[in-house]
Amino acid sequence: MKNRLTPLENAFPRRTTPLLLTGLVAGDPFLEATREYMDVIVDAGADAVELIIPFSDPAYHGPVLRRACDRAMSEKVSWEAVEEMIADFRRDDGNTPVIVSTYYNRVLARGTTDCAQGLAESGVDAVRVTDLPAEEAGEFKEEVEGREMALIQSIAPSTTKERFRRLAKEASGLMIWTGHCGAEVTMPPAEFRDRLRDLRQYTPLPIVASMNVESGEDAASVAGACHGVLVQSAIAWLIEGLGANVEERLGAFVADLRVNLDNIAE
Amino acid sequence: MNDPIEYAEQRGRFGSFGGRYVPEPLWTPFEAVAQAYRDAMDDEDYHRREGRWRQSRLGRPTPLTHLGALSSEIGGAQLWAKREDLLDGGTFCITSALTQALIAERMEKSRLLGESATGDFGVALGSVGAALGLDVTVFMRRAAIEQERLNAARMRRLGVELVAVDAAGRGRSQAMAEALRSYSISWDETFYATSSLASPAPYPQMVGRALSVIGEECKEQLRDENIEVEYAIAPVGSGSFAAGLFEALLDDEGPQIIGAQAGGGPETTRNSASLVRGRPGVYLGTHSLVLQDDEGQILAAHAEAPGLVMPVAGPQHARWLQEGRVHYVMVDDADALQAQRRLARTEGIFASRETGYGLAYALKLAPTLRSDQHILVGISGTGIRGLGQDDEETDEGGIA
Repeated sequence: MKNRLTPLENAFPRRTTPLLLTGLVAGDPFLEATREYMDVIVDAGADAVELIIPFSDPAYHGPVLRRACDRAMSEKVSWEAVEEMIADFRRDDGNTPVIVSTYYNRVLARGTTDCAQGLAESGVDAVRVTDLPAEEAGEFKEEVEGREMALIQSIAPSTTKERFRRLAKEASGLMIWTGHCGAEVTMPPAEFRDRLRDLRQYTPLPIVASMNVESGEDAASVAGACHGVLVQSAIAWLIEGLGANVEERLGAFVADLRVNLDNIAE
Repeated sequence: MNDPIEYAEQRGRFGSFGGRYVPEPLWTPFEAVAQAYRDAMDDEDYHRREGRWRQSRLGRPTPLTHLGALSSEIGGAQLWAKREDLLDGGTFCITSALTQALIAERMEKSRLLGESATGDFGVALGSVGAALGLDVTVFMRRAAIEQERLNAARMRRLGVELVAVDAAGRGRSQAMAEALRSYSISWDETFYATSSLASPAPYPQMVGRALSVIGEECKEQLRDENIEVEYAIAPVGSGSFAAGLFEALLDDEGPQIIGAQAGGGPETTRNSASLVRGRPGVYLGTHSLVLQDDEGQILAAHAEAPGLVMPVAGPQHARWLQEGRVHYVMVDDADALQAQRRLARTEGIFASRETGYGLAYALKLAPTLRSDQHILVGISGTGIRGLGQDDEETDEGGIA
């Protein structure tokens, strides 16, 4: 199994543009649509796709993603169905990294070994579990990393420097700064920039920020302080509105993020 | 961290259950709470202060009451009740709220922030917060606020900032989610206080230890009465009250301990019996037994007593179940209601709807025992909260 994040991570020092990670709730509004959206956002310039596997109680997500999960719940999205979709994506696109994220109970219900095995076989590159801190991740981390996938570590404004250094030592793939809680950004921009500048000294991994980015300008302003952005709710919000030309609008939105991110590198 | 047991305890484990399954923004705030709690446990002054407050403010110890009339009516064993309904505020909750507020005070926080399913814990938090000069914010589902008007009014009188959570169903978890979200951006000055035993570490340890005073008092009171009980029974939702009653009684020579969970009834398969029908999983920050489907989606819990509506129990219960130390049973909603009414009519004790679940099981056991044998039941609180919410008298030919 080729780990597509590792090349990305290795290539990062040579990259001249910030990373653009985009999140989709798998099954919102149905799986075939999610499969189409994956192509749309990659064609528009996303560097990686995160698929959020819906959970009945996504307590640590904001209202937009909670509603998206609710919509996807009615589709009863199984692991097998998601994996088939990812395998299908892989047949067309062997390069773009796919990150799967969910809550730990969904992993446990399937079994940590089966879950890691199924995801690896379908062509997933990294896994992120919202409610699984490093201290509790031992068994699943081994299962995931043993199959050449990364278990992505999140960091937050409350993460102390000592803790960050410890987490960074064990981290793989990339690290995600969760700088908002629900839809509220929790740190002023200047402090955010200082903190990220400081943290970047301690890891060679890219740090990508999830900061409730809603526009190309937002993306550019956040990415100036780190290695890129993860955009989730703004995309779920766009999909919630649907309409006949949702794919067109989705593509245009991601393309705008891309252009703005590329511009700051110039 | 060379000692595996110490390491497990520090990580908040109960055997293979427990732990702290939270997103990164909450890890460090909860670690700080864990550290403050450990420091408090090593501090004799803290224990003295907590003991004084329990006695002079809360009304501890609560009495142990012999339910003589009910025992005679049923026939068989003698029933005894531990009376948490007689505490300040009328429920067991205040003992847990006090400990959490005292830890908050040690941490020099200025605000308590919590969630409440029925308002009982919110009232308790409001009382101790006011007494200690701490602001209190309570998140509660809007539907629950409307249903629990009495508690909502009590909270407001106590100066609690009551935040209504508009959530599409799924019980108290939405209110808890909103409370945690608010906490994660205000933890510098705020202490998160939980009403539920099913919470991330260190809360199950902290709440369990605080409430274990219930069982300790009971043990002493039973000794004073010179009796040994065959069974000790309490209702279990998330299981805070039951854990408090059980902990001190869990020794090999002690009684058979029974946790009564809401089992629905003949006409419904919906229940809150996580320890009977649940499977191991991670929910609300802890590894325990969870009502869930094959895909790991959480099932909506149901009980006629709002305090028992929880799809997950505290991790110590999962451990006690696994080790065979506590027997968990399902009790029909209708039987629980009957038991609650019977206690009121026969003994003049108007207990909470939750209490009815444990009592109903006791009423089934009593006739199978001799009259010189004893059963202990826990009364978790008064029934006043539920007044006016049901048409309780109509089916008995009383007041229509």
